[in-house]
Formats: sequence, structure tokens, C-alpha cells
Amino acid sequence: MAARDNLNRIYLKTWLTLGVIVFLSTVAFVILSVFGYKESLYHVTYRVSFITSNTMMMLIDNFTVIIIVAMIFCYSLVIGRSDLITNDGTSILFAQVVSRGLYIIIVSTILLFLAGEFLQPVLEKRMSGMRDKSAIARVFREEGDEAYRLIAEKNRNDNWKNSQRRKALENYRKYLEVIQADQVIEGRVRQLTSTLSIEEFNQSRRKRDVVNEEDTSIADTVVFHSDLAEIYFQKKDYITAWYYYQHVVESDTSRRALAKQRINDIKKILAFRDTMKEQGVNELWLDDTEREIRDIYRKKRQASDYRDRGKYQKAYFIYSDILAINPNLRDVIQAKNETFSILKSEAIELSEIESMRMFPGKKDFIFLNGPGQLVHIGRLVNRFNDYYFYDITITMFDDDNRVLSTIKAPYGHVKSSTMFSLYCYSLEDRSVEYYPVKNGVNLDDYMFMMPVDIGILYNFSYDYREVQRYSILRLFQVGTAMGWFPVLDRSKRVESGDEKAEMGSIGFNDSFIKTAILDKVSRYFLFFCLSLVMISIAWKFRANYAGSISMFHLPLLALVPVFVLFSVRLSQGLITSFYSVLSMSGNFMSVLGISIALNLLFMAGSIIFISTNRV
Amino acid sequence: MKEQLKHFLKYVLMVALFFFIIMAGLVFYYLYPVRSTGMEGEQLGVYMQSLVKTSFLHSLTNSLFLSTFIYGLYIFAFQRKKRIITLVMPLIYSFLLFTIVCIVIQPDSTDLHFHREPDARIFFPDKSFFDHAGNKYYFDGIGQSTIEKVIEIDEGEINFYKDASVLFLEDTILVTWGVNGRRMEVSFPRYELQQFNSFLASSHSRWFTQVGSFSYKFVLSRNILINGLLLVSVLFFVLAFNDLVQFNRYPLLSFIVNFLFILLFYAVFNRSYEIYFSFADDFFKNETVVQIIYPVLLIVTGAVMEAIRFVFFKMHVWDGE
Repeated sequence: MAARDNLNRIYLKTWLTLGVIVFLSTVAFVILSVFGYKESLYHVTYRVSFITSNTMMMLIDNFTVIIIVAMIFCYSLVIGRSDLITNDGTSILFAQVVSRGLYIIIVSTILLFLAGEFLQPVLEKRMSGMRDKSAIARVFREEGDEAYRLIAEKNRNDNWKNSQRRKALENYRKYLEVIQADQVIEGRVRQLTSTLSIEEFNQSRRKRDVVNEEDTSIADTVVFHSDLAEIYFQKKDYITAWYYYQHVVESDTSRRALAKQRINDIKKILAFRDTMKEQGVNELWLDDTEREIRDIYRKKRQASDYRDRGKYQKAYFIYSDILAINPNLRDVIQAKNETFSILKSEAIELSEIESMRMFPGKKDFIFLNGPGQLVHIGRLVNRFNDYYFYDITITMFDDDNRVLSTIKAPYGHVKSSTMFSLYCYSLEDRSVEYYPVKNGVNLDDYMFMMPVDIGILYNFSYDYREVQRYSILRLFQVGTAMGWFPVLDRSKRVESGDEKAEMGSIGFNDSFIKTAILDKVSRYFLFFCLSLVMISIAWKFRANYAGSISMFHLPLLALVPVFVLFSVRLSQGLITSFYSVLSMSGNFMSVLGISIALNLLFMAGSIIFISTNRV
Repeated sequence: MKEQLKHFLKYVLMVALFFFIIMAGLVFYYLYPVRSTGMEGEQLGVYMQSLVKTSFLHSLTNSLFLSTFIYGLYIFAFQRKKRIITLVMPLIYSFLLFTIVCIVIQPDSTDLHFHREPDARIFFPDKSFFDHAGNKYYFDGIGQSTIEKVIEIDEGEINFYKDASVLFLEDTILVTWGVNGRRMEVSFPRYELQQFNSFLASSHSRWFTQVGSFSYKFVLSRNILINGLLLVSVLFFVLAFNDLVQFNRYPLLSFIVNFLFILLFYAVFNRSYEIYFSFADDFFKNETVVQIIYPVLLIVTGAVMEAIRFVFFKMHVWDGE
């Protein structure tokens, strides 16, 4: 029974040591995060969020070190000789002493795996999200502040001041979209909105509406011009009705006579409605209306002609022109909206892509788009899984490395995971369009395919530390896309035999990803093995009891974490170099096999090493 | 005598173990990548020969150094009688072994370079983009001293070249190609470990570079005895430091301090010698004198540490209960 008491005391001490070390490290990391917070990187509202995320991130990053330090202190210092001497003289074996520590190690290994695979990627994403939002918020805030400051300038007329107010308001609203709670700015927005007449602001907004509302009182099933004409005639919108009857006159021979009759009726009604006006003026007005309707008809034909030729921006602007004359023409509204949705799905709007330029991204992004095609993207911005390209050059070259042709485009936008468009249009200026240019000629064919999912291309980073924070699953996804697993990918291979070969030729060194996977897998094993070895060393070199160390030597205890940190980093460095060489071999599966075998070997070694301790 | 024999056997065992591990690691590290280059036959034989020689020298000096360190921790620290003999014996074994090896092999510092074989396939990754000096490069069809296709991305400007040739100079590799009658060239450092396939953090990589250059100073002199003396002085210095730090009440602390000392020694040894050399070279005209003074300094420092240890011992500074 006496042994039981001793063991209980030992286990309590084990847990206590672990608890104290974990608590102290958490406190230390919180303090480091508080001082490590930079307002230039993270907006003030993210301060608390940054501190919690960063603390958790540091805990995960240093998890191995924390647990090992706790174990070393526990077995070399906290558990002393007195704990091993029982009242009834039974001896306590090392296996008994260490059992709780081993339990902690096993649970920690599982925890480390879960944290590394699930929590860390989420935290990483969250922190980079905060950095992105802070960067964009800062731009809006600065622009808004600048405009807000200019409002107070003297010697300026009201018009100029109002334009500054609008600018400030617009920027502040965008800022508030990103940063939800900022009372100062909210106050300014309230003040600005009340100063600017609400009507004026709404007007400026209305101008930018790109999609027109249809008249919902008419059922969608009504499509014939004759029916529409009749409906508008009954609704007493005579001008619209006239337009549709004109359509019938021009295109439907069987109903032409009736339509002509109706137009005459409309003319009479309109003339009658305006009896207050003088006769001559009225006739002139009717002539103008007729001309207008013919003009609309002509414009519509022109627009649909543009649409047929794929000139959607031009068509879109002509439909807008027609609706400026008569906003009630349902078929024009529909056509305009359809054109807009085609534009959206095939191209990118200039002001949208320009507004994305300020977001963080990658510079000089490059990949081979299949054999003989090199894609260089001057700047690539990733925003909410949407990818924006700037300054794109596609170079075609032959087997002799001779340049055949180059395609250049200022803007590009990814339309699906493996397709991008190099056409950019403006909704503000009809003369502004950007097509990809090949040898000085605009290309109508502006859609391009990519060999690999853009997400994988983008995430393929040569920053090894960054890749280390990816989950193994994600790394495997990259590997699959690079065509490492021909056996697993059988269905794909049957469909397209050449695909696999092309995947490998995007010009990326995939041994980088292989190393990352092997490295990441090994680090979980490493934690386990190193913990056992360290417990063993700590036990071999233990002190008799905690108080036996002289006060003079106490500060030297700070060397223990330093020692663990160096040992862990050194082992990780050796492992990384080893795998970086191993992964140069072509077949990933065999390399993975070697790595797992080695890890198991190390595990066995560390278990043997720890079991050499008897008492 | 019997005890010394036991120590000798243990020491030899440790040297053999370290030697085997380091040698195997180095040969693997430098031979495995060559596999994928398709080098074979006589060429591979020549490469193997130089690789084995280089790895052998590195393994020898490092294994002697590490074994002596462990010897100090496990054997010398617990020796109460005949301490001087126990201290001197491993130095003598090491000196003899090293000198004999040097007489047989006659190494110079170029023998310690890995990648001496001038074959472009070992140095460059095939068919993948890599960064060098701010530009991106893409090599396709790398041969022994030729590269079929070169793509260079220089600040967004993309250039395509053909038939580049690779020249191996003293410590750089020049890749040159002709453009419109002009020769263009890019230089790459030759002796950096696994230039484009290593993903170590820069701090790691710096430390490993220092460890890799540890052995160079031991073959610096043309006089084999001076080289041996330097090795012995380093080993003595390590043993003396080991002996100095003895936290008897908490042995783990001694272990940790010694471990960190070894890491530090690896990091600064080469650098410290170079700093010393830059001063001493101006001061003493005779090269031999310059080369002798450094080991003598190490030995004197070691002796001072031993003296301090003796004082500590008398004052019971490290004593247990």
C-alpha cells in the first residue's frame, strides 16, 4: 500500500509540473503576442483576436518544446529520491514512475497531430484573413480621412466640398464593410449622410445600377411583341405599346395591318390627350416620338448584332441607351440583363479588378501552361477564392526554345478552377475594353485553360515554413494534382492519357511538397521519440531532490528550455535535409514507405533507450 | 592498465559508431541525388571515389571530436584516479589515427569539398523554376556540361535561350549562352550544400554550413604534424571544458551546458580561426608560426580551465552533498 501512496504522489507531481509549465508558457506567449501586436499589420479591432490566435499558434508551434521541458523538469528535478523510498521498503520501478509521463506523451502526440492538421491551418487562414482585411481597411480609411480633411479647407465652393464629402462617405462605407465596429467612423458617416442630402447620394448610387428591374406585373410567359403591345396598350403606356406595334409592323406581315391601325389609334389618343397644346406643336411632338421609336428599333437591331458577334460590352451600352429613352421596354431590359450576365461570366469589370489591386497577392507568378506555353503573371491577387491577374504575358515557344508569339493582356480573371479570361470591360466608359493582344491584334478568343487547379497553383509556395503549416491532407491534394498517384487516379487516366504527363510539366519542383509531407509526418513521430529520449536522459542525470540545487545555480535552469529548443530544431533540421534528398526520387509512395519504416525504427530505438532505465 | 584498456575499447567503439553514422549519412546525402541524373559507369565510379574520400575525412574529424566529447562526459568525468593519463590517452589515439590517415591520403582542403565532380546534373533541378539572385530560371535538358534550354525571367521580362554551356570554376559555376553574338553568363555558388533542393530555414542552413566547414582547418597546413596538433588541441579544449563544468547536484545541467557548448563550438570554430588568422598573419611573418600559435592558445586555455577546475574542486564549488 505504501508504494501506492508514493506512486500517487509521483503522478500528482507529474501533472502539476505539466500544468505549471503549460500555464507559464501560455502566459509567456500571451505577453509576447501583446507586445508582438503591430497596428500596421492588424487593425485595432482585431487586437484581441490577434492575441488569442497568435498565442494558440505559438503554443502549437512550440508544443513539442513545452511538453519535453515539462517532462525533463518532472523527471530530473521534481520527482526526487524521497518519492522512491517507500515506508515498507518495497522499491518503485522506473516503469511505474514514468507511466503517467508516457500517458501524457501519447495523448500529446495525438493532440499535436489534431492541432497540426486541423487547428493550425484554420488559425493560419484566420490570421492571414485579418492581415488582408486590415490592409484594405487602411487604404479605405486613409482615402476617406484625406477627403474628410479636405472638406474643412477654406476658399472652396460647395460643389467641391460635396464631392469630397461623397468621396469620404464612399470610402468610409467601404471601410465599415470590412471593419464592422468603429464608432468614430460610424459617427462621421452619420454626419456626412445628413450633410449631403440623402437624395443626392441616392442619385449618385442609382446611376451605377447595372441591372434594370423588369415590370413584374407582366407574366414571363408573354414573349410575343404583339401580345406585349396589347398589354402596354391596355395599361395605357402608349409610347411603349407604339414601340412594340412598330416591331410588329416591321417583322410580322400577318399582323402588320392591325398594328398600323393601332399605331394610328395611339397617335390619335396622344393627340387628344394633349389638346391643351397648340396643334402644330403637337404634330411635331408626334413626329419626334415616331422618330424616337424608329431609333430605338434601329438601336436594338444594332445591339443584337453586336451580341451575335460577341461584343457584349457594346451591346450592353446600346441597351442602356435605349432604356434611357424608354425604361419600360421589357425585352430590352431582359436583353440588357442577359448581356450583363454573359459579361460577368466571361470577363472582368475594370473598376472591380482595379479595386482588387490593393489586396495582398503574389508577384511574378509563373507556370508552364502545358508544353510550349509559358504564363507569366506580373501580379496575382487572391480574394475569397477569386483570383485576379495583372500584366499577363503568355509566351508560346517551340521545341527549339524559339519564341513563336506572345500574348499580352493588362487584366485577367479566373472563371473556373481551370479556366481564366483575359478580357476586361468597363461599365463606366464604353470606349474602354481590354482584349488580349497577339502581335498587335486583339484576340476575340480570350478564354484560356490551365493544366492544374488555380488554387493549387496559387498555394504552391516556395516558402517552406508556410508549406509546413498546411495540413497533410492539403499537401496530398497538391500531390494528387501533380500526378503522383497514377494507381489511385485510375479513372482519370482512362479518360485522358496525356493529362498526367502535362500535370508534371507545369514547371514546379514537386520534391518541395514531397519533403513537406514526409517532414510533417515525421515531426509527429519525432515528438514521440524525442520525448522518450529526453525523459530517459533526464532520469539518468536527475538531481536527488529539487532543493539540492544551490541558489547560485538556479538561473541556469533557464538553459533547459534553450537546450530542448536547440535539440528539437537540430533534429528537425536533420530530418528536413534528409527528406529533401530522399524526395528527389521519382516515386513518392516508395519514399513515403522508407520514411515510415525509418520513423518506426526510431520509435523502436527510443523505446529501447527508455527501457534501459531500471531504477 | 586494465582500466585504460577498457577506456580505449570504449573510445574506439564510440569513434567507430560516430564514424559509421556520419559516413553513411554523408554518402547517402550526396550519392542519392546523383541517382536521378542518370550518371553511370566510369563517371559514377570517379564521383564515388571522390565522394568516399571527402566523406571519410569529414567523418573522421567529426567522429573524433564527438567521441572525445562523449568520452569526457561518460568516462573522464567519473575518473577519480590517474586522471592525467585518462585525459591524455584519447588525445594520443586520435593524434596517431589522424596522422596515419593523413600520411596515407595526403589530403588538402579541396578534398573536403563535396560536389567536386563537374556535372551540371548534380547542381540544377531539371524542368522546374527556381530563384537565383532575384531572377527566376528554368532549365530543361541538363547534360553534363550543357543545358539545352534556358528560360530566364528578369523582372517580368522573359527570355528564351538555347544551348547554354556550364563551366566549373574554383568556387562558382558559370552558365553561359550566346545571344546575338554576345555571351551572357550567370554564376552560381558551387560549394553550397544542395543549393536548390534544401528547404532549411536560413539559421539552420548557416549552422549546418558551419558544421560542414568544421574539418577544413585540420588539413590547412602542409605539415601533417601541425594539423595533428590542431586536432589534439581542439580535443583537449573540449575535454577541459567538460571537466570544468560539473554540477554534481544536478548532473543534467552539466550535460546541457556541455551540449550547448558543442553546438556553439561547431558554430564558431571555423570563424574564430579565420578571425585569428587575419590578425596573426599580419603580425607573424612565418606561416608555420601562425599555424602553431592557434593550437597552442587552445591548449593554454584548456590548461587554464583545468587549473580553475582544480581550484573549484578544492573549494567544493561543484560538490554534491
